[in-house]
This record gives sequence, C-alpha cells and structure tokens, in this order.
Amino acid sequence: MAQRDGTTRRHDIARREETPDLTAAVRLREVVRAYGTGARRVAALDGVTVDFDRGSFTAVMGPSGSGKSTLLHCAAGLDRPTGGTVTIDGTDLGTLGETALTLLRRARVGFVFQSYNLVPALTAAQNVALPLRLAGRRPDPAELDATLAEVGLAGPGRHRPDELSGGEQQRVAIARALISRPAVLFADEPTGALDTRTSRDILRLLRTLVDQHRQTVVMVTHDPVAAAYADRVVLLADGRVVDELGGELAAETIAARMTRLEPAC
Amino acid sequence: MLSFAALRARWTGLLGPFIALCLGVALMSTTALILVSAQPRVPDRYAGAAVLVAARTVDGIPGTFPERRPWSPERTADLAGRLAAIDGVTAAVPDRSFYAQAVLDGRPVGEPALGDPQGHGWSSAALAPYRLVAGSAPVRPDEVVLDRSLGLDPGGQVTLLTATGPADYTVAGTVDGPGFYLDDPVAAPLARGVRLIGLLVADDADPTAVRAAAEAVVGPDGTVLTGADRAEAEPPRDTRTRWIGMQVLTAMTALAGFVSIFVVASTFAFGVAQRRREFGLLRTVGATPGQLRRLMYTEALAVGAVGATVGVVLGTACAPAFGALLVDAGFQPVGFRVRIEPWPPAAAYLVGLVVALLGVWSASRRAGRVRPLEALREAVLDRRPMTRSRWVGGILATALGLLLTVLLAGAGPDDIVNYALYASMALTGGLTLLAPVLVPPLTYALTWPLERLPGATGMLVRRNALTAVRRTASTSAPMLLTVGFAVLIAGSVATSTGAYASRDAGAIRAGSVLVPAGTPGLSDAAVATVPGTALLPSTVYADPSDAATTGTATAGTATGAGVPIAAAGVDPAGFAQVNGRLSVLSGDFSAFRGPETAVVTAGLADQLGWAAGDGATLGYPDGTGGQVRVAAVVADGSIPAQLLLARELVRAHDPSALTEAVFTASTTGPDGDGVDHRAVLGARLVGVPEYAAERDAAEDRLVWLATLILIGVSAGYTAIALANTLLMATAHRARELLVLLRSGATVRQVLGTVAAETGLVLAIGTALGLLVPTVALLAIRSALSEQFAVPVELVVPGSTIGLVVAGCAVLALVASVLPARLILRTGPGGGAGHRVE
Ligand SMILES: Nc1ncnc2c1ncn2[C@@H]1O[C@H](COP(=O)(O)OP(=O)(O)OP(=O)(O)O)[C@@H](O)[C@H]1O
Ligand SMILES: [Mg+2]
Repeated sequence: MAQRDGTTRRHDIARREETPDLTAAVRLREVVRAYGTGARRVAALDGVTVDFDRGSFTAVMGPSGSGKSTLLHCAAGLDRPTGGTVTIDGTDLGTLGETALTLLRRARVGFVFQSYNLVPALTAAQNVALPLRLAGRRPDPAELDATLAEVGLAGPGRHRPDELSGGEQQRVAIARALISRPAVLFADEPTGALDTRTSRDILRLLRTLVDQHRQTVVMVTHDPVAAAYADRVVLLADGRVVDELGGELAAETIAARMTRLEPAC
Repeated sequence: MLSFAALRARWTGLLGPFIALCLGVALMSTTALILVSAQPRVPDRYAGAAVLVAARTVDGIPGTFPERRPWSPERTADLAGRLAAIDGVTAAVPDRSFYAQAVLDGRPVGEPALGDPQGHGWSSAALAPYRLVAGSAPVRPDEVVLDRSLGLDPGGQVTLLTATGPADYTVAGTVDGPGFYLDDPVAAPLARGVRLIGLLVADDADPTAVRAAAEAVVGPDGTVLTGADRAEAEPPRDTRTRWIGMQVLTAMTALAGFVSIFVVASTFAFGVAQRRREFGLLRTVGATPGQLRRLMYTEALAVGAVGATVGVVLGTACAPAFGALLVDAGFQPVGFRVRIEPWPPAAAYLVGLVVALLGVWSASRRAGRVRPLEALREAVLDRRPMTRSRWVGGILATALGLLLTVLLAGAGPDDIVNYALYASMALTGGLTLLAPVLVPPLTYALTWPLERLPGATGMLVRRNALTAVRRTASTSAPMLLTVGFAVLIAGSVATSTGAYASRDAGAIRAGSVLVPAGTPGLSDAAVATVPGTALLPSTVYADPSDAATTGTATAGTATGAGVPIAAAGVDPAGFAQVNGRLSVLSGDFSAFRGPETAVVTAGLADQLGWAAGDGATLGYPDGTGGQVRVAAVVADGSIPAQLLLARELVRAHDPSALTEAVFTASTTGPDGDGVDHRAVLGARLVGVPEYAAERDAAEDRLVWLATLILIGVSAGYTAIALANTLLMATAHRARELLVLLRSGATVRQVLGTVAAETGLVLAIGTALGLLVPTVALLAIRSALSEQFAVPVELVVPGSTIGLVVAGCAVLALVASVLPARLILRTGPGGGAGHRVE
C-alpha cells in the first residue's frame, strides 16, 4: 500500500509542477519529521506532500499519534522538518534563519492551540494586540475592537485570561491569530477542550472567516462533526497522507472513513 | 507594555537582583565616597605653621611606609637658626617628640600608637597652635603642660610614663589640644631625632618668598611644604591605616560587584529556566529571538535603574556613619571625615547598570534560544539537566581546582592563602556546575529513610527532589557557595594564625615573657623588674657602602637619604640563649658582644654588600652616625629584625624607643621570683604560647575584621541568592501545591512538605559546601606544617559555620514557606490553575 501511495504521490507532484499553482497558500513537499536517532528513531511525518489552497478550509484527521500536530507545526514554521520543503506564500521556510522565520510567521501565519496559550499577565485585549506590538506596530483601537467583535468578544477585553471561560479564551486566541491578517490560520484541535455548543460557535466562526474573508484555515480535529465544516478532509496515518475527502462533506461519511482507517494503525 | 506587565507579574523573580544591585550600588557609592574623601590631611599639630620644612623621606623597610630620616642635632640647630633668620619668619620650631603617657589611678591611660608619640617640647604647641587654657608654660624640669580633657588642674601632681619609666611632674598649665609638653631643654634629651621644623610666619609676609628662602636654606636636605602640601607631613602610621582601609574597602567592593553579577546572573538564569513556557509562547505568537533577548535586557535595566537609584541614595546617606565606623575599627586615621561629592555615587550608579546588564547577558542568550514549541510541553521533568557546556566547564574547573590544591601543598607561606582562595574558587565553581550530577546520588542517600516513613511528606520530598534535579541543584548552589566561602575564609585565617603562633612559640626558649599592658611598649623601669633578655626595636639607616662618609645624613648619594633598617637592641649572650631558631651562615655569633658589633640577616647583607668581619656605617635615629663590625650573618627570619645591635647602643641613640618584650627563664610566673609583676607599671607577664599568639594581636584583629567583612559580604549576597531562588521556585510551584491541596492534603501538610524540601536543599548545599574548604584547608595545613616544621592544628571555626548555616536556614524557610502559605490562602479551588507562571 505504501508503494502504491508513493507512485500516485509522485504523479501528483509532476502534474502540479507543470502548472504552477498560484492559489496554494501553503505547500508541503516530501516533508519528513523524525525524532531520535538510530534504533529509537520515530518518524512522526514520513514524506508528506500536501497543498492548502488560498481561501480553503481543510480539516486534518487521523488516529492519535498519526502526526497531525507535527504536520501543523511544520507547516506553520513552528518546527523545522528533518527533510522536504515547506513553502508559505511562495517562500521556502528552509532558507530562512530563526529571526527571518519568526518575522514571516508573524506576518503570514496565525496559530490556535487546543489549550489557548494566552499570556497570563496580559488582559484579553493586550493578548490580542501582542503580535502587532511584537512587530513594532501600535495597535489601532478600532482595529482591535473590530477583531474582537469579529470573534464575538465585545465585552471582556479588559479581563485577564484567568477571569475568562474556556470558550472566551479560545476566542481571544483566535483573535490574536487573526489580528495580523495572516495568509493562513492553523488550529490544532481548537474545540478539543470545549463543550458541544461552544465548539459549534467556534467552528461557525472559522467557517465565516473562510466564506467572508477568503481566509485559509487548516484545522486538526478528532471530531467528524467539526470536520464537516471544512471543504476538504486530509486523512493521516503513521505520518503519511492516506486519503482525502472533498465536495459535500457529511459527518457520517467522515466517521465511516475514519473507522476504516483505525485498524490500519 | 510587555516588559512592564512582566515586571509586575514577576516581582518574586526580580526581588533578588533588585536587592543585590541595591546593596551593591550602596556599597560602591559609600566606598567611592570614602576613597575620594580619604586624602592625607594637614595634621592638626602643624595646622598653624604656614611653612613646614621636613627631612627627606627614605623608602620604607619592606612592608612599611616611607619615613623621614632625622637630621643630626647639629644640623637641626643650624637649620633652625638660619630658617628663623628668614625675612617674615617669626619662629622656626624643631618638632621634638618622645613617648609619654599619663598614669591615672595607677594605670597608664590613652595608649598612643608606637609611631605617634605624645610628648613634645613646649615650643611646638605653637605650631597647631594649642593655647594655654589655664596656668602657665612649663619652666622647671618637673613641670608639664597637658591636655585639659585629662581633667587635671594646674598645680596638681601627675605621673608620666616615658621610655625611662614613670616620673612625677607638676601640672603647670593645660592646653586645648592633645599631648604632654615639657620645657624644650627638658624634652630634647628624651626625644627622638628631629624630622620637621615648623615655621611661624608673620601675617604680612609673602609666602612664596618665605618658601623660596626656606628652600635655599635646606637645599637637597629636606622638603619645604606649604598650603595643602603640608598634608605630606602626616605620620606614616596614618598613611598605613588609610592604605589598609583602602585594601579592605576595595576588596569588599570588588567582591560585592562580582557577587552582584553572580546573583543577577543566577536569578535571571533560573528565571529563564522557569519561564521557558512563557518564552515559547511569545515565540509562537511571533517574538523573534532578538526580541526575547531585548526583553531580558529591558527587565534587567529596569531593575538595575530602580535598584541603583535606591542604592545610591542609601549609600550616600550611610557614608558618613560608615566612615566613622571605619575610624573606630582602625581602617581610617582619626580625624577622617567623609566629603559628599556628586560624581562617586554617579559612577556607582553607572556601574550598577553595567553589572545588571552583564548579569543578564547569558540568561538573555538562553532566552533567545527557546524554541516556539516549548510552550506546548509541560517541562517539569528535567530530561537533560546537564548540558554539554556544563559538563565541560564543570570538569575543567574541578580539574583546575585540584591542580591548584596540589600546588598549594608545596607553596611558600606567602602564596598559601592565594592558592587556597583560587583553588576553592575553582572547586566551588566546578561543583556548582556539576551539581546536577552530584545532587541525585546525594538526594538519594539523604532521603533514603524518608520514603520508609508512613506519611506522604517523606515520599513527596524525595520524589520532588529527584524529579526536579536542576531545580534542586540551582537552589542548593547558593548554599554551597555561602558555606564554602565562610568555612574557607574563616578556617584558613584561623589555621594560619595558629600555625604562625606555634612556629614562633617553638622558636623561643624562655619560661615566660614580660609584655606591655595598656602601653605601646615597655619602659626601662618595667624591663628592670625582671631578669631576662629584652628586645628593643628601632630603625637605623645605612648609606650605600661606597659612601665612606662620617655617617651623618648629609651624603647626597644616588639612593637619596639611605636605606632604613629594622634593628633590634638585645643583650647578645641572653639573646643566643632565648632564640631557638638562630641559624648562623657565616661569622661567629659569639663575636657579637658590645656596642661595636652587630649581626645582620643574609638578605640585608646582600643588599648592602656587607660580609662577616666588615665594618658597617650606620645612621642612628637621633641623626648621628657610627661604625659597627658585622660579627655574623644569619639566615633571614631567624632573628626578629634585620639587624641586631647591643641594647645599650640602641638606647643611647633612640631615647624614645620602647622595649617589645623581656624573655625570662623563670616559668613560675608572678610568685616564684620575688617580683610582684602586677605591680609593674604598664606590663604583664605571660607564657610563651600566649606571647606568640598575642604578638601580632593588633594586626590579627585587623585581619580578622577584614575577614569577617569579606565573609559577611559574600555570605550576605549568596543568602540573598538563596532566598530569592527559593522564593521564585515556590512561587512557580503554585499549581503543584494546589494540586496537593486538592488531593486532600491539609495546608499544614503542604507547608510541611515545602519546609522539608527546603531543609533537604540546605542539607545538600551544606554537604557540598563543606567539601571544598575541607580539601583546601587540609592542603593549607600540610603546606604550613611543612614550611614551619611544626605540627599544625586544623582549626575549623565551628561557631562561624553554625552561624552562617543557621542564618541561611531561617532565611530559606521564610523564603519558601511564606510564599507557599500565600498561594494556599486561595484554598483548593484557587485561581492559579490557568496561569502559566
Ligand atoms: N518531542 C517529541 N519527541 C519524540 N517523539 C515525539 C515528539 N513529539 C511527537 N512525537 C511522536 O511523534 C508522533 C506524532 O505525534 P503528534 O503529536 O504529531 O501526533 P498527533 O497526531 O497530533 O496525536 P494526537 O491526536 O494524540 O494529538 C507520536 O508518535 C509522538 O510520540
Ligand atoms: Mg496532536
């Protein structure tokens, strides 16, 4: 099976390189991320090639330990792959130094974690403004308000993270990821710690961003219902892309496909 | 905004650097102010003389300060006459001084220093000027004018102790200044040679003209001092006191500076280790490595600016009081006052900022290396407590320390303390770096019984310490340093003092020793009360051998005013019996008899080109000169001076000299030899070991004071580091402590665990801290006992160690239990759960 996948993938690459795709916000080519050396070597990603098109909403799914988080980290420039190339908006991340990479991430990439990761000493509004300040810009209050309103947070801007609910904290985290108008927004299980209702709100928010602002969104999830909000589902197993679902996505279809995948690992 | 918010939220982590910088800058501004103020002053005694004519200085005997070599009596008279004749000079007063001390209620009072005699000729009171408050000038030989603060009235009787012994005087008058004034012809035979002539100048005289005329009179035979230059006439003793004070102050300040850097560096480094998550988070959100580095620098600068400001204010405010303290301690001459000037505190402020930036340097580099993803991991477990640079640095430093220890065992006496200090610095540094390797086995051993206890505390303490190896290593490092340095400094001083004393005691073959009590030395009357060998120290001068002059100090040779020699007057036969260390290299010691002969050390003989049998030309302290024959050349250090002369020769040329000690054969003490020694004025009979131990008591007291100051500074600083590290560590463990509370522990149990963990840290730090100085002290002991060929006792000052450990323990417990208590106040549902910090 690995053999067959390998050939189709090579075919894919050939076809895509013939017609340079200007719409891809992020491209991964043969990306390998291995931990440890020798006998203890574990390849969390084992030759992943995938594109995330501009204005698309992609869900990444797969069994636990299949490399979803690693894929996201590599694609976002948070981690450096041990092999292959990652390109964001036409820039090869491998050619960038630590500072240049950070500057690129700051300008082009937003990242949302399952566990929010807000700076505890700062208020919600200060957390959102943080990327701008790091970029040396003075945040425009109107812009801040607009971003907070966009994620449905008008009131609690003055509160500190430990005074906010989980859903509110995740909205602050999303607002922080969006404030610099990134080319692509990555979210690693953004609803993993939230109840069903709050999860729906967050997912609807992401969908709106894609539909109204042509925001590129890549989201890791375990939940077929959450994945159904996306345009496309990329399925990962053992660090490889094993399948893709597109078109009208129904939660049941995704769930069935996932169940078929489970025994594979 | 970011750094300000971070500052507010992280005050626990910044308290240590703040206090360290604040104290460091305070210390530096105080010291700088004192150093700037510590300039020679015109001595009060000469304040009223517009022009001073001083004899030429001779470079000091090694280890002492330059002295002025007296003129001969004839030359003095000649100079005084011609100086008095200068236009505008109303009087030329030779300063004649001799040892004098009042005896009140049967006891000598106000012990004057050896180099600062208080007896003077009456005419020199006009140089200050000290004026008669009551009575009249001394006229008869038994009349004295003295300080009114002694409380004696004109017409009363007073006993004065001089070099010859006690004598009764009638108080003729009192003056408004210190000293005892006799009629000039009476003072002259008691006084040492004249080194200074003060000129009283008429108000309308032209000072420059007087100066020029005086210079023409003395020629190359002296220096003319006017205005502020007259400060050069201060007693060499004050120069020495100031020099010692400077040494101590600069050592203290340098230590404070370096230790501040260490405290700032270690707390910031610890802070970075604790804030990896926060930094990772900032990196994820888009902070570049450079921005994190700048964040650290900003924090350090903010802390430095505030700390240095407080420090400068504190230091400037405390400087006058500290100056007075230094005078009391003998580190500044009497009369010293601190002048407040703006630039020393300003300089200290800048140094404070630089220290803060230097301290944060390595921590900022580490902060910059934090990877974005580190925000996502729970980094409680120290997976890699040892970095490669830690291994390399630790092994190199330890190896260097061991090498120095080996060298130390074979070092000369002067190098021993230096080697010990460097060796232990290297060893301490090495141990601190290797602590993550050493801590687990130590913890394992120390806590082995704990896990067998029924309660949870023991298990928690053991597991926490074993898990957070690096934290345990970081928190025990300051304790290691504190204990290590305290034990090393105190132990090496105590051990070497003891070693010197037992060496000296071993070299003296006497039953007991008559030593001064309440006086700077023994008078001839005191010496005469016991049979034995007396030691009468003095200074004589040698002109280079080619100058075959008459010995007067006028020879204008290349070396200027000649070479000063530390001489001692002894009774030759008695001396040979008493001295058990004598080692004759050439000549015959028994040929040393009578005032025409002398014994010299090899070092001096080499320097002056003398050999046994030669004639040597000497200049005496009264300004005259003469010839002696070198009877024997002996090994350096085998006699208590550079040159031995007959006692009567020294007495004849140095009427003011005092005897250092009398060695007597009797061991029976006060009762056995028919003399009631308690009745001997200004003297006391002691055993040989006591004499050896007390011989350099004054010197030892200064050394010990300096030692205590250095221990205090370093221990104080490392204690700050200890408290601060524990404070940060505890504050950082809020979540963990709340988890314990939520798991059903009572507040008491949690606090007990925290206290027990602190105790463990203290125990590990103390154990490692005792290791280093023990190695160094053993090496010092073997080096000293080899040098002196006597068994040397290893003195470990237990009380100092106990005090340091107890002080640290109290501080450490407060710094860990108190914040834990604050954290637990919120109860099991407390809001610290969400917080990263
Ligand atoms: N720092 C690391 N060191 C060693 N192995 C790692 C590290 N991080 C991840 N791995 C391994 O890489 C593989 C993929 O991890 P990853 O976190 O990407 O999985 P995931 O698909 O996100 O799983 P989950 O759904 O549970 O979050 C796992 O086998 C994991 O053990
Ligand atoms: Mg994951």
